[in-house]
Amino acid sequence: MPRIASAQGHTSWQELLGPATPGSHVVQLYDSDAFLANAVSYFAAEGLQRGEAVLLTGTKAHLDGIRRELQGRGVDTGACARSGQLCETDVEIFAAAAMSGGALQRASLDAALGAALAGVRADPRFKAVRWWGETSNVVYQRAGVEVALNAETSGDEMAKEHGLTLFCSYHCDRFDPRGYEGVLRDICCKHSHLIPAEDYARHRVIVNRAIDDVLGGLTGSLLQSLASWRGLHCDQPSSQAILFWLRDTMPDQFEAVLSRARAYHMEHDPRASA
Amino acid sequence: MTSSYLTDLGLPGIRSVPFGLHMCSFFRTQEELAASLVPYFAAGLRNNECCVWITAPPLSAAVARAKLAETGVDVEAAVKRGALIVRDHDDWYAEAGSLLGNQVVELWLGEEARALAEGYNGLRITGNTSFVGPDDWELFMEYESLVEHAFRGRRILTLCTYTLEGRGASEILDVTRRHSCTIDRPDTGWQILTGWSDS
Repeated sequence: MPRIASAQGHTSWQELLGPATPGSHVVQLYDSDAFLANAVSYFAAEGLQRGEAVLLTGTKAHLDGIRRELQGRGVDTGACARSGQLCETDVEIFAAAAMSGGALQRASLDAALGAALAGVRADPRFKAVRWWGETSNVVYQRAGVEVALNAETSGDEMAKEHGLTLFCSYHCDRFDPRGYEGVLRDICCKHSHLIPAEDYARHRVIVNRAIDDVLGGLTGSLLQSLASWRGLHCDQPSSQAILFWLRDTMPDQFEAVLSRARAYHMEHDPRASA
Repeated sequence: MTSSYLTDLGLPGIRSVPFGLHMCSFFRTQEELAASLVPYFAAGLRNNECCVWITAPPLSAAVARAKLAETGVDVEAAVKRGALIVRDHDDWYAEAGSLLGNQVVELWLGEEARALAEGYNGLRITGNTSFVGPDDWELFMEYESLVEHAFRGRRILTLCTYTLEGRGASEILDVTRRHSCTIDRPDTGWQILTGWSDS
């Protein structure tokens, strides 16, 4: 078996969140605060180590958790904050700017985002800027998906315009079939990459087993359908993408597959909430 | 180098395909595997292409040669003049196994250059991937991504065959999204299916 050099696509979230990829817009679906803190602290630590400015926009509880994880990774968060390389902001500032009367205030949100970004972008010490935030998730929980998606559009345009590496987190039950009727697909379409789970290998095993249980092997017309499927404009592991295909192709069986997947997930990790 | 050259794939139902195409196909039995690869290589030899067939279970190099001979191909003569190479993957990877993925790609591009310099119309290759285990899967998929990009526009035709035994739904999608197309035989004729591509 030849050893293979690095190529396209991502096989773990660490691989995706390590190097800066200007203009990219990554989304994480998380089912525990521990996973959120783990992924965001990794993203931030990698950026700090590479001489980039790091902006973190979250709830107080999440920012506290991320800070602890960063310190666990050996980062002197106080020194980084004092030097201006690490900036924490309360998500409520952006959520308040984004929402008014249940509708997105785009100009207000753009102004708030731009002001937060201006300081670090003007600082020549930093090679690049990476930004984690959960504004859209907060907005989604309070005002619904349409407002959240509009907020994502603001972030996406800003990432492309300024060459940012943008990372979002959504609290989401990926085994809830209702999510696949709209919100999950919509979230995917607003991002360049999707992180569906903490452990990709385990996610693959769970999904494969669930599909096997319900459908048996993929042969004949199912195989042809999968080979002809146009996919999504969002890089993600096949074990997640195939759930979108299944939702499109076999909606009658989809719920049973997700139910089996959830059972395997819980069996492996009884503490899991999703 | 251009891929505007068309060639006969050799499979009933598909008239011609452009060089540079990186295809995949799935099989369950030796018969299903032979049903695609034997006519594929018979057509390649008819079209004056240099053919490299890397075999793996359930079809050994010896059986592959025998099945190709049953179609009327003078296998011995083709091997002797260098137009046909049929080797078991153990044998082939004994030489190539220590190479990185991009080095394997370079090896194929070198074979293409050699084939064209010797007057062949192109290079036609296949690899049966049944030897790829779970531990090597991700690395092998990276290799497939490299091939998908590197062979575009080259005078190379590639058909990668994957057993369905032991492969989950996610692995099947891994494969189809890293190839230009999937060829399949739903009934009597073959079809080309194009779907999601990472590129």
